[in-house]
Amino acid sequence: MQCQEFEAVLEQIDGRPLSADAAAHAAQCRSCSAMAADLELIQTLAHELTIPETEPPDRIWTQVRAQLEQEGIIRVPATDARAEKQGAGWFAGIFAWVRRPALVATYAGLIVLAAGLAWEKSIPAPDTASDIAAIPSIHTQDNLNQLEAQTVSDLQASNPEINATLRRDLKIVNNFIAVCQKAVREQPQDETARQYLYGAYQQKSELLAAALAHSRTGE
Amino acid sequence: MRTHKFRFLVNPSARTVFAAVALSAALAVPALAHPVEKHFAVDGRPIVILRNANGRIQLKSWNRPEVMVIGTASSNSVSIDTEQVGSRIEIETHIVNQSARGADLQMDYQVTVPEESQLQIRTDSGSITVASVHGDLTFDTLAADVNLQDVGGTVTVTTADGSVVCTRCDGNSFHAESVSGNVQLLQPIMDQITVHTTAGNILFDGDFLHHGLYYFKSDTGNTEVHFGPASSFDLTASSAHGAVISQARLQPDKHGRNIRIPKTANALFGTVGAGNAKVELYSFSGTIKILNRDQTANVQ
Repeated sequence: MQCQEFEAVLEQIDGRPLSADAAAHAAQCRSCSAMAADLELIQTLAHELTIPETEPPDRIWTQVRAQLEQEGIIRVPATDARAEKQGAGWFAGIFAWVRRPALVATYAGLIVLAAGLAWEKSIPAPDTASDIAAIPSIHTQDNLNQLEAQTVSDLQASNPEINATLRRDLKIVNNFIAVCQKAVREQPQDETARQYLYGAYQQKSELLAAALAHSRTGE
Repeated sequence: MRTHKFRFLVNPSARTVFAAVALSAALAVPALAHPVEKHFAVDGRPIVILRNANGRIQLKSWNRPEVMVIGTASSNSVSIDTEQVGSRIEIETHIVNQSARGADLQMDYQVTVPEESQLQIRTDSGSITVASVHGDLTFDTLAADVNLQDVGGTVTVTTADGSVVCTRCDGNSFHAESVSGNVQLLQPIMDQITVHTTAGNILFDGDFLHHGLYYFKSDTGNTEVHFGPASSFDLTASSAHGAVISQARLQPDKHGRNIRIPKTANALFGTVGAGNAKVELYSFSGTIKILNRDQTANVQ
């Protein structure tokens, strides 16, 4: 199986396990394997954030698309644009024209995460300390850490000075997240600490998105 | 009269070595930076979009209907791409040599634009200096410092590590977001200012305009507000784990606001004068100081 065929399979997979052929290809191809992992991560994010819709709303995809087009990551040709008007999904266009699928997946992940954080902010404070375990922020932190690892790994080849800056700032945000988490654990009713915690998650998400965007300057 | 002729006596093989060394030294020196100058005729209020990786970006205004771009590359690893579509000018640093690193990617720009131009500037590191441009301005940096003077319109700055200084900014609104960069607003004439930073410090030195909305939040950094004697504002200041120090002569809130201040936080709220402007200062662990400019020396 070739990469192009694998991408076509991935488009249609919709949460089902990979076929034997596709799994064999993914095992050999690092790029396709990373793409499959990214998509799985996005699906996990969407579920863990318990957004009422299984799929992000259209406006989220519209934002993802606008961002990707602006960044030059995707270019939808006129023929695809026509097809889209006829009802074809734009996501197919991305896979046809994407230059860096892992980056697309990360962008999508960040935007889904941001949407999830906005939703989380509206959740009232838990009534009891035991409810804390149910706060999705713990999963959010795990997901953000995964995205951080992926982003930092993507940046390894770019400007080392900027990488150092980025790592320093991520450390600052991570430290602040840790402080807020401690405050929330100690005082579950502390609405202020919760708000700062969610704000810090959002800051981290935005910082990662900015890092990705800047890493592409001049390409 | 005797003249002395000094002569270096060098044997031929050594001369060859010298020549080889001189040649390799010449080749090792990067190409001399030579500026590239481009001019774009524009109508009305142009939009200038500039994307750079690293370098100094200086923008200023003039009264000609023209955008002038002077780009100086530090090496042959980068070049300038420009495009004009109507009144939209796009300038982008193109990385020619993908293996180039650090200083080799530096491109400095001097851009002169009509006063009412809109700017969208994006750079990783270096600095951005803008003077006397009054269109809407957007800056997006990772580590570049942003220095604005006498600018107007709607100003939006997003940075991770860069500092932001806005001196005599006069426009509709100012919005800054940073992770660790400090933000300073000196004598601003703007009635909507929003600043959020995770670890940077915030300094506001100026008068609050009537009906202005001012929102400053530094999660772990310090916030300092120096207000003038004629200021009139409703104040809410709250730091969950830091101190709140105020020289403002606060009166009980005159507008019946329903303020939710956490029980454990250090907080102040009330009205100065008639309470025309609204000032909100928040921090998680930083110190908040609200100082009367005339008495600033007394509180350090």
